Amino acid sequence: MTWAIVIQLIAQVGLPLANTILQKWFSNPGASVTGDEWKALMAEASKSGQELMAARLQAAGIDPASEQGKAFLALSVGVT
Amino acid sequence: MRSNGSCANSALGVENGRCMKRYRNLLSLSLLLLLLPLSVVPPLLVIGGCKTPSAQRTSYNTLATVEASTLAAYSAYLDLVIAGKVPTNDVPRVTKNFNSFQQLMTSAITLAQFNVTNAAPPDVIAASQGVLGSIASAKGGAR
Repeated sequence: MTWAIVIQLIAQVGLPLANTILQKWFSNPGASVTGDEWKALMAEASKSGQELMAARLQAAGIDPASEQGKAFLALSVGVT
Repeated sequence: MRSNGSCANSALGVENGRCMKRYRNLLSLSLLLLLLPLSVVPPLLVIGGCKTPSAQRTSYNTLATVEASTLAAYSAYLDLVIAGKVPTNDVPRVTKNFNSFQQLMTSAITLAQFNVTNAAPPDVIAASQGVLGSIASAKGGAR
């Protein structure tokens, strides 16, 4: 089941992300999972769409507090 | 005959009694040492909800893989939206799917830390597929 998931993910997100996916998949085989690893994963899973939009705006050189930034952030509230 | 501490050399009944007592003590101690891990470790594993390291690693790696790929796909989609290469119309719908996925993933991680049988629950996989599918339709095949 799990290999099918990985293959399906690679097929959907495209080959450029395949390396990231496979690295995650093969990381520390056999080793027990540390508390820090769980915390890091939980931190990733706790990010909202709006937080990610703000991060991507900053990466693109757009101030999230600007009018343009606010317009993008308003879109990413996630309510249809 | 004087005892030199070795039971094999003791001839007197008193010495034999001491030796037997010593043997019994050693036997008790050995049994205690042998049984201690058996009696203490399994309850600790149950309390801690641990699985074998490899099973837990499989769960973690699967969840981390699904999270990383969904996050990367959503971030790449946002980059296209910000760059004006993809219309903004579908951003609320895609974001709603993404937020739902994140909530399910948070629950799955919490469960996986203690005890789960599935490497990644089917609802998390389905939610990830929902995000990726909505991104694909929002892009309109312009990957």
